[in-house]
Amino acid sequence: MVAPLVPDLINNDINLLVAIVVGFGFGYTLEQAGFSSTKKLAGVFYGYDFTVLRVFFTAGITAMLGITILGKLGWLDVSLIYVNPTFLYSAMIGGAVMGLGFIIGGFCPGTSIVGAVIGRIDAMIFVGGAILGVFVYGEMFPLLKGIYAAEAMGPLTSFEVLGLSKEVYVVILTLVALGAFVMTYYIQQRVNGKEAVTLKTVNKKYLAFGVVMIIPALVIFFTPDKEERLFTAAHDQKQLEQNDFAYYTPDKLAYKIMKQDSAMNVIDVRSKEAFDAQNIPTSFNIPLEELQDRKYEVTLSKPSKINVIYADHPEQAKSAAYILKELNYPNVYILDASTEAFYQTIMMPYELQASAGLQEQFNHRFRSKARVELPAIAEKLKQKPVIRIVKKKKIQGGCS
Amino acid sequence: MNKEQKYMNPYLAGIILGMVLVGSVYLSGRGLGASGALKSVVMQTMSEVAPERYNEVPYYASYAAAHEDGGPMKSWLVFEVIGVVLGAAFSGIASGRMKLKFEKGPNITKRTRVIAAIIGGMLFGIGSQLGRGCTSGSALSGMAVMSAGGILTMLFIFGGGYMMAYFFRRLWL
Repeated sequence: MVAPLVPDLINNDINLLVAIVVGFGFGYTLEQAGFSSTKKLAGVFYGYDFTVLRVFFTAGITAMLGITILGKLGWLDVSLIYVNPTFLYSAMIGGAVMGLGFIIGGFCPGTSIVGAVIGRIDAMIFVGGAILGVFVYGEMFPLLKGIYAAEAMGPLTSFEVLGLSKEVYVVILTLVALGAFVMTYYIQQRVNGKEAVTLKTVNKKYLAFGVVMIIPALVIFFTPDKEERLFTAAHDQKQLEQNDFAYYTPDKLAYKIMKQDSAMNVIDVRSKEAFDAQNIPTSFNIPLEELQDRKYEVTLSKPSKINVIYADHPEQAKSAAYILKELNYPNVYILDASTEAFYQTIMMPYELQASAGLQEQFNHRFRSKARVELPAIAEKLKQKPVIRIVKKKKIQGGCS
Repeated sequence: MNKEQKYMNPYLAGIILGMVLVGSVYLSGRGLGASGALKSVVMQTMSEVAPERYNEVPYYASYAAAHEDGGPMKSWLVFEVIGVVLGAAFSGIASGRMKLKFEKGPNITKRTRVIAAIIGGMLFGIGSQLGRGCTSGSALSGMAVMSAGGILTMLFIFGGGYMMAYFFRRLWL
């Protein structure tokens, strides 16, 4: 089962339970880190205590590395998770207003809740102020609407903005964070008038921490995506030779089509152009490159269904069959002929030799019938689509 | 109550917090948040105190329509914040920090701190709505999923704080 586990494995009600458990971890860690104290939070802005920066960046980097690795392993479909959309102006102005609120109030919403819970009176007042602020915003919304909605860029990622690959970005951000940890350490020691440790005297656990953060970043850097790995393997001759593929003859496929066997997917893995030019009736087109797209999962994974693949080259069909098998899709067959050969065999009238055996006579009769019926079926099918594409819904998140 | 314990090592706390965030994304497909729950509180209050306004003014009405099923309080973030309350209380009790206390900088009066906390809270409330999330929902969770907007908001929260820090130093130093 590929995560996120909502909405398939975790329904809405259980999801709320998950929220409580996640929140418990969140609140516990914030309190343990000292974020219930406004002095510790304000310290980051005056250089005497960089705890906020350390916890924040370590958490951000850890989560980024974890999510990316889960994605690489194919355990998490990162295309489904909520990515905060980018609205250029409101992100900047909102951020700056929050920064001002941070330095004046000494908390942010999450930390103020934690502080209020353990009895910090100033935190309780801050929570009240924040609620009031949300209300004021609502009342002022007609005035702010323009800024709020301006420059909508959708779920834009930071590596796209920087023109980097995801992998390079992950490595750079990890190094930037580690660099910031070292730098702020020296600033903090100086502000507090303390001696700084050197590389020789530093507690070894901090070096270990640095290594622990860099290793996943490097693993990410050198690991191709799961889709890429499978696609490469599917084009590896050795891999293909190790697999036994099952085949359909043109006659068998034609027979099944004429029976209008609904328990069969006939899949054209060629390009869309080739498919549009000529295709086998009842078939639908999924180009080889798109075969791993999860929107086809529901169609292809039904255990009661047979998946018959065809292409113009047996190798291409084999690659497709390999991918489907690796994705654990059931009953994969390859049409033992190209699209063209299928038509040559079935659709071209030919004279039966006088010496033809029983089987050949039978084939001849069958193909004569198919020649009439297949175009009729094809004509009929033009009216309605045959593939059911199930687009997984992106998860709603965020704070609005 | 036992003696107040030291805070956790910040890097260890960061790793644990990061893992919690990964768990959240793995299970629920979304990150952490806080200000969204405050918004739910405001919306719930509006729906009870001023139901006409809540159902008619476009800003509230669109929220009401989106939360027709179960009302504003039946949201993931509200339940997450219930968890935050429980987790913080557990931690506070376990570490002996659970007590009423008023914290302020050494050179300001209680009254100044109260006013600053209200104004700061209000600014954060407004900013979080404009920025579509606060430090946790927009900045931290955005960073985890490599959202450009999230990182931008984070840079402006901390950048804004640093730029203004000098003018408000009397509050803290």
